[in-house]
Amino acid sequence: MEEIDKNISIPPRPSLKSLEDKAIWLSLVLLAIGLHVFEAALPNLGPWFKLGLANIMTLLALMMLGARAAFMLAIARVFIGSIFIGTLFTPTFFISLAGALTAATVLVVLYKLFPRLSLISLSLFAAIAHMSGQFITVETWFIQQPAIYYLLPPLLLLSCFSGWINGAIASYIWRQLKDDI
Amino acid sequence: MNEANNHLKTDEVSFTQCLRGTWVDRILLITLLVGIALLWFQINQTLSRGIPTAYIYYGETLLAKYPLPQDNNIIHVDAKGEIGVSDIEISKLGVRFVSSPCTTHYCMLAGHKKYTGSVIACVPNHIMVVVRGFDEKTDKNITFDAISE
Repeated sequence: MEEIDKNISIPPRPSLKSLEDKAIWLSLVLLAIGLHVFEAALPNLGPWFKLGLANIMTLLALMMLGARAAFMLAIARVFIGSIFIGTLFTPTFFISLAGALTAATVLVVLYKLFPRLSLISLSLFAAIAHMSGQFITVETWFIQQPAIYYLLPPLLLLSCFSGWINGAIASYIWRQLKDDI
Repeated sequence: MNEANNHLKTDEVSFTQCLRGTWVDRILLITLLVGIALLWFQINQTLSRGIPTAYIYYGETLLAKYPLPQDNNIIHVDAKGEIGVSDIEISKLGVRFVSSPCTTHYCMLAGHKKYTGSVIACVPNHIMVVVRGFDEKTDKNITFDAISE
């Protein structure tokens, strides 16, 4: 009996911190998916414009869990959110994924280079990167006509405002939570 | 009420305070807004030279080019795209998508566009309509794939 027990190798238990991080990440992903679906259900604010509320969760993931978690969250919420709204592997999905990845890349790079930059500034750059990433994807893969960029300036102006509001919301939530994490 | 507020932390900030941002945020916002507005102005200046003309593209190919009519003439263009044919109407009201094989119909919902710099794009069908000034000097080398006038 004793010999059998010796042969069983018990895998090391994950640390409480690692489990806690996974739980936080999962909560943020679920919230991001909820916001993604909620935004799809909202009346259109324009053919090319969305508020980008799910980016609040990417910002929070970056602050709470780091760059890798923020990237994974951006990818996961676009994939799972698209399943719910029925746009998986359609042009909308690829445009959305490109925007989310560009925004996440800009967020991570700026956060590493300028750690003192506020969440509002980070969100402003991310919103502009999101919109630009989407346009580059549309121009490269779908429309193949540089004239599509004529639409960009008014949408970038709107992105600045949505980026500011999202940054302020993320900043408010982060200030409420940071002492508890 | 006091009991309800007991959980608040001493350094807690309101949402309004967060919304104001820091001075760095404000300078950044103003810089971005001014930069984008200048870019927009520059694009509009370039596009508004000449007679307002509707350019219809499928990908990189120019399918048709029509000056916006000043009379009651209505022109219909059947633009064959990636997933089917889009019916595009050009009239004195401007240019619009009448029908499209896409599922979202954002292109149809865009309505009439008549000002230079306006763009309607049907991404699933790879069809795009641009209204810009026709300038003979810059447009003389354009070749047409389908219909032209």
